[in-house]
Amino acid sequence: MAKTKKKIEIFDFYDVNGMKRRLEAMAQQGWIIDHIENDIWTYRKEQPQNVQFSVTHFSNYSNSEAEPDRGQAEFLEMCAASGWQLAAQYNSLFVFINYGENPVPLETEPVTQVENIDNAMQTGFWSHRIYAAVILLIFPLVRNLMDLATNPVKFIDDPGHLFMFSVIVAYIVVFALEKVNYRLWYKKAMEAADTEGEFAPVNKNRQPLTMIAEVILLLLAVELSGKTFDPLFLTGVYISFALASGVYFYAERLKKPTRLMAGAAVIVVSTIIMYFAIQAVGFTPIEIVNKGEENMPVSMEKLDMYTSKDYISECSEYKCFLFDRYQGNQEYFETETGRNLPDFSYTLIRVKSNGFYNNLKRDYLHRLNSNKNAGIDYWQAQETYDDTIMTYKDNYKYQIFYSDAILILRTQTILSTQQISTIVTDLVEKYI
Amino acid sequence: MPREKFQTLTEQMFYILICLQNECCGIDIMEMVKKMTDGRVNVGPGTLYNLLEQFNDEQIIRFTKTIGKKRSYILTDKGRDILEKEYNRLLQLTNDYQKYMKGE
Repeated sequence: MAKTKKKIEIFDFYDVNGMKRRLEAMAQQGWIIDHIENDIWTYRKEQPQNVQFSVTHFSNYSNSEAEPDRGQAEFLEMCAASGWQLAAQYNSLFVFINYGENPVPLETEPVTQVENIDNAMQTGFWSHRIYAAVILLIFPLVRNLMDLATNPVKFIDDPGHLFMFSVIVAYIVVFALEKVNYRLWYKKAMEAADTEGEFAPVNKNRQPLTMIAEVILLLLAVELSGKTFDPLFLTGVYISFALASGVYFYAERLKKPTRLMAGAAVIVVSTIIMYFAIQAVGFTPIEIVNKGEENMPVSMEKLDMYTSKDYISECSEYKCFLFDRYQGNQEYFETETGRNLPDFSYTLIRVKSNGFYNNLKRDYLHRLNSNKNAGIDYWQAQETYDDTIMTYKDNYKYQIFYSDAILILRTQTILSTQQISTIVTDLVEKYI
Repeated sequence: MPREKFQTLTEQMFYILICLQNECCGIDIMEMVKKMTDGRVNVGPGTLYNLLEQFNDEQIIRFTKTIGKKRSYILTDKGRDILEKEYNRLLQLTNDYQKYMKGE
């Protein structure tokens, strides 16, 4: 029979009485806590017994048994004098066991207990996450928000934006959920402690709810990556998460004096590892697909006088629940007289939600009208069509709203309305 | 609404501060409180440690010396004032009780 066993025990950081109940239930089954590594708790086999456990947080903890912090040594001495032996410790989490009958509880003042938990949350748990979030997320988040506010069409034109944005938002939402959960618990616990003398209440179902939200958000991020069913990509995502988690937990276990320097080094090294991991697994959300024998969906004949020297038969494809996006480009045109013209490229975004599409169109028109004096050229080519084709030109970029799609053409060639209509028809027919 | 910090004292705070009119360490305090109250009031080590830290931060007590793993503390003038105020408050309560409940 196994002498030890590991179990995944998921508790909120502040749910000390939930942990206590669990430990006592396990002891009654003959399993006594031996040590704790984050959510993996190791129990050792003993006789089933009724023993008391107490779980508390000690903010100024030290992981070194040989040289514990002076305050920690005093604390442990006081606990030992009351019969409370240290059974396990993980960072600021201290688990004590007492084999005596009716021992004086470790915590005898509810308000002080809740205050102590809150202190540990502020100095340990939250601070690590806040620093990590600030360092890792603030710059990409600001950049993404600015891009989104400036030009939503341009924002969705780059699926990488959407993926990064969703990952960042997922992290922030999860963080906010945990924070809200904790504040609700704290308010309830403090009121109960102050008015009714109740000790920290057991937290019910908070962690599973947060975990479900995390999984949903992670799946959303993967979906927005456009590679939901790519095993290589999924492996890359999970390896990245595992790396980040590993780095996080190792950083927490370092000794205090070196924590700051080591933390900075870990961030730099993990960033480099992540960069190469991303490169290796092809993290880019765009997938290259071959669209058949026809090289460019926009044939050169339809662009009149030009011939092309170097066709590309592939286009990039990105699909998510919000829209499909196709992008193709032509290296360059060559005129009959041998004159090279700049690149021609197109992006076709088919928006799957009518409401979203109409909002994008309305927003674009609003921006266009409010920026008329900013040098944006504009004309409508609707007279050549039965349906309305709304085309806007901004320097060398043509932006067209047609059906439920947005088409962006980039070329330095001046296109006629007839050419635009041909291109739109060809592309929409090909992809939609 | 939580009470303002140390404006009033809980039983445990009150007895801890009484103990610290003379220099002593945490383990001594636990024993003394138990003895003073005939076991009616017990101070757990977790609570005691946190209260000693808070009292020290608020300069209600001050750290005096360390012997081995034991740290000793003593009441400060601020601590004596707080204890005195609490005593007067409790006295007022008992007087009011006598006056209005017993008709004395």
